[in-house]
Formats: sequence, C-alpha cells, structure tokens
Amino acid sequence: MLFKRSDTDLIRSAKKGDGFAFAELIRPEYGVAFKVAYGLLQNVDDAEDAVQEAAFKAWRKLGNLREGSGLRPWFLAIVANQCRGVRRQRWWLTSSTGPENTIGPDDVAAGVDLRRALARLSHDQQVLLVLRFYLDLPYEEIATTLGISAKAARTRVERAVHRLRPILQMREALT
Amino acid sequence: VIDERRVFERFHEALDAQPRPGAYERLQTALAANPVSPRRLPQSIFRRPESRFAIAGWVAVFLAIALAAVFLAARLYAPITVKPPTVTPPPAGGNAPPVGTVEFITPQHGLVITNGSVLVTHDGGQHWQVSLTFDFLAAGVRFVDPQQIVALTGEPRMSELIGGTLVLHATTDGGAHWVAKPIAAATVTGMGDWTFLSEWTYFINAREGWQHDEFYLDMCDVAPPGEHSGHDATNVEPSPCTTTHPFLKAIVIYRTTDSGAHWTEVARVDASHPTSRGLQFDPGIGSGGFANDLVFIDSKHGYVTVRGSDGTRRLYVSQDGGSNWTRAQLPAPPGGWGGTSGPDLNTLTFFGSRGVVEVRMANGNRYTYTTSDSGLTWTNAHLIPGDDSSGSLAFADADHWWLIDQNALYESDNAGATWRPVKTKLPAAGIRFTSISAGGGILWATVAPAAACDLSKLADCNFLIRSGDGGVTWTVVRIATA
Repeated sequence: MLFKRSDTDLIRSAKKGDGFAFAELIRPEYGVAFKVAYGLLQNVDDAEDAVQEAAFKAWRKLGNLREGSGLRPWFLAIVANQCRGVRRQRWWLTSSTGPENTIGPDDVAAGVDLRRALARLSHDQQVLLVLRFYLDLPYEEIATTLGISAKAARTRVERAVHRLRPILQMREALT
Repeated sequence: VIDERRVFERFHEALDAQPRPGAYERLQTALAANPVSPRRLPQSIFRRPESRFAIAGWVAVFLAIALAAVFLAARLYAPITVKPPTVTPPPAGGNAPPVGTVEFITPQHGLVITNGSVLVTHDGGQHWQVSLTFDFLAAGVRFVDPQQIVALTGEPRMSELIGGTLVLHATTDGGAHWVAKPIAAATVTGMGDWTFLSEWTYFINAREGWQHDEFYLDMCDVAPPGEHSGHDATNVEPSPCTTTHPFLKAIVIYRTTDSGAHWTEVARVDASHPTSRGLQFDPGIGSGGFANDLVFIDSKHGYVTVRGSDGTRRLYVSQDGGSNWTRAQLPAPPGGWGGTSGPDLNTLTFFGSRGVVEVRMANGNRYTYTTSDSGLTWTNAHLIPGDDSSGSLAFADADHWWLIDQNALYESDNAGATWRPVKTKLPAAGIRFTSISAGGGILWATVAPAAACDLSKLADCNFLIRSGDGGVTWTVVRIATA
C-alpha cells in the first residue's frame, strides 16, 4: 500500500540516518532552495552544488530543528549560509564583473545589469532581495528564515532596493 | 518611490533558471546511498552529478511520477465533506463600516479604526463621527488624552511601494480638526532622504517622537580574507572590516521635538562605542540580533527591546528621553530564550511605575512579566492561558487584565498571576474576538466570523460590541454615522 509518511515520521527516520527519509523531507523545498542558491550565486552548477552541500549539512544538523518550527525557513537559512561560503571562496568573481557604465541596452534587457548590481551587494542584502523578489516570500517568512523581525526584514529590503535604485531606474529610462 | 511590483518583475526577468533535469533525484540518490549516521557524515560526499547516479536518478524520477499519479488518483476519488455555514451575525445597522480595532481611553472617549477611516465618539459610543480618513494607516492611532490623538499615515498604495512619505496627524480637540505634517527621515549615512518605516517611529504627542534604526554596513564579506575595506556601488563610505567585528553595525536612536521636521541623534551603540550610554553593542546585530521595539510613555521614560544574536532578549530603559539607557533585569522564561527563533517581547504597557511586558515563545506559549520600578527589574514569568497565540491583552489598570482567545474571554485581577475564564455570551454564533479595550470599567471588543465571510458584506462581518458586566453579556453597538 502506498502512503505518504508524515514529516514527523520522516524527521525521526532521518535522525536515525535514513538518507532517503531526509531526501523526502526536503523534496518540497528543493525547488525553492535552488532558487535561493541561484539568486545568490547566479550559476546553475554552483547553485545545485550549494543546495547539495546544504542538504548534507542540514541532515547533520537536523537535531537543531526545533519542534514545531518550519522546515523551509530553517533549510533556506542553511542554503543561504552555504552560498555565503561559496561566494567567499570566489570573491574574485565579484570584483571582476567590471564597471557598471559598460552595461548597454541589451544587457539591461537581459537583466545583466540587475544581476551584476545584485552581486555587488552584501550577502545579507542579496539574501533579503532574493527571498523577497525572486521567491516572492512575505516579510513574515523572510523574518523567520533570517531570525529577524518582520519589520526589520521590511526595512532591510527597502534599504537594499534603495541601493539598486539606479539600476531599476535605468531600465525605466531605456523603455 | 519605487513601485514594488516593478521590482518583482525585474527580478523574475533577470533571474530565470531551473535546476537541470534530475537534479533533485541525484541528490536523493546521494542521500539515500549513505548508510551512516548523519553525525559521522563526511563534510563533502557529493559534488557534481556523476554518471553512476544517472540511471538511479531516472529510476527515482519514474518512481516519483508513479507515486504522484497514485496520490492524485486517491485525492480525486476521496469523499469531499462540506461544512455548512455557521455564521449568523446580527445586522450592524445603517451604513456601518467594518470595524478593525477599538480603543477607549475613558468610558466616554473612544475610537474605532475601519478600512480607511478613524471614527471617534465622546459619549460612550452613542454617536460616532468620521474623524480622519486615510489611504494607508502606517501605525496605530493613539490617544494621548481624551482630546489629543496622533496617527501616522502614508501615501496611497504605500504598502506596495519602496520608500514614500509618512505623515503625522495630530488633533487637540478630540478629532474635530487635524493637523498633518510630513515626517522627515533622520539622517542615515549613505541613505539620503530615504524614509523610515513607520513601525520604527513612535510619537507620544503632536511634537515629540523617536525613531530607532540599525545600521549594518556589512560590505566586507566579498573581500578576500585578510584584506580590509569593502566596496559598494552606491557611494557609501568604505567600512573597515576586522576579525572581531566583521561588519560595522549599530543601533541608533533619534528624537524630534518639532513633529518630525528635524531629528537629533540621542544615542548610538556600535563597534567603536560598544557600551555607549548604557546600551550594549552586539556584533551579531543584523545576523540574528536586532533592535525590536521602541516605546516611550512620556517625554522621559522609554523602552527598547533588543534580540541578541546569542538568543537572549534585552530590555533597555531610559529615564531621560533616550539619551542614557539601563539594561533591565529580565529573567529568562521557562525553557530559556531559545536562540534566534525564540520569543519576542510585546505589549509594553505602563501604569505609572508599574508595567507589563508579554513574551511570546516560538512554541505558542505566552508569558507576562511585571515591574513596579518603571521597568528596571521584572518578576518571573506567568503563563497566559488560551490556545490563540495572537489573542490580545487589555488592561483596565495595573492589576485588572483581560484576555481574548478566539471566542473565549479570561480575566485576571492580580496582574496576570492567575486567570479565570469568563462565561461570556457573544451576541451571535460563529464569531470570535479580534480586539479588546478595557476603558474605565466598560469592555469594548471587535468581533469577526470564525469562518470565512462574504466580503461583499464586510459591514456584517466585523462589528463592535460592548459589555458593562465584565464580559458576561455583550450588545452590538450600531456605528451609524451621519
């Protein structure tokens, strides 16, 4: 008989070392986790690797997941931290993206300008913007993921968008 | 001002990627293939997809599709139960607007907030007047005294905008006339005239207000290890990074005495001044730690709640208008603070030197602490009854409190040490409390259907009720405006 195991059951099995159970547990979150990683790393291979590494870290830290807490914000936070580590290892990529004034209309249309500007922001700000505008998460869920208050999340998102304002306005001027 | 919808569009245009086919299945295979305890897992056991996982991945895809098909079929043929509607609200009468929240400062003087307006009464709810209309109510409307009311509003669609201007509204004649003044933002390095969020702004009257903010100029984390100074494209001054404090962060408190036209920095704590003016710097601010709330009860007495990056909650008390602060003695609740996902401090309310603060735990438990020395020391926690973690507290005075919990009502006459359920009889079936106010011996509450409501009949969905016998019986208050 086919049936769906409850999250509680999957967590219990995963804590005992059942990798398939942990894989089932994070299955609903895989797509979202990939989007977080891609938004932060902007490379499909690196994003998949980061999610994979984060999955193993999450498995090892499954005992830290508080009872009653949501799996998604906890897992996304681990993915974001994994991406922070990846970005630190490849810091030179950020500094080699070139000055913004070399961006042409085609780049703007393709979103290159926004991706480049995003990469120049701090990790915390990138995470905020990706969670908000790429994953469309409400501020309450962003707050839970980052361990901050909802109003702090909103303030920080607004600050981060403010830093992107020249990029956002450039698109408006060209269209 | 930036339209948030355009930002959504830009991000979805610029970041459009999907994982390669079979990516999840490859991860699943790798996880399932590891038989050891997660504690002993190697740090890196799976990197790039490898060919030996490909076959197992496709098998896993096939199994997943088959499983999904079976599951969907089971759902399609499962019996569907439909619950009958249980809401039978009484008519609220006339052109009654849907009521959101209620606040009474005396038995005679009160207000209700509706979707777009503030209505006031000065005769115990017999007559109501539309006093203020708004497109976006940025913060709660607050009585200073029966004649003075302050409110913060924003421009239309402000909830959908990034930035925008806040406006302080104040009346000194009970709401007959209002004066509106746009609020300037306090000066923030590199942020120009960027407007603050309303939740971080607190006015105690038409002139005096405070803002708190947190800097986190963390632009160092893309720099190579060992090097200093970050770079940012928006002309913010480069920030030195140190191993002790990798990010420059700070909590800053500003004060205005001219209705928000000008702001003066009165306190700041950061890495350079880690114990400035009684505030304690937390290097984790911005990474789990943050300033949560700022409340002033008069020109001198103010309170800031801070969540430390180590999970502790701190409460700072000022007795000189925000210039100097003292960390309050706040014992941990049962079970401890519980890390960054732990509780928050809410509902800071004072009656002279006596006060109460509420702690909401992540597991839904709620506790109250009380103080009798203006917040410097707090008693041990008392558990709040009820199942609704969002139920509101109302305070008649420092000892007599009320608690709403769905359609239940609790009363305490010893400052929350013990509670007793009130045998309350709501005026309709299928409704629940949404807000409560205990002004001068009269209980006022707003109620809404416990189930979904016909949005075309909002006026019948949310309405105001009143109790003169301690919450045992309630009557519907008709808010018929002229």
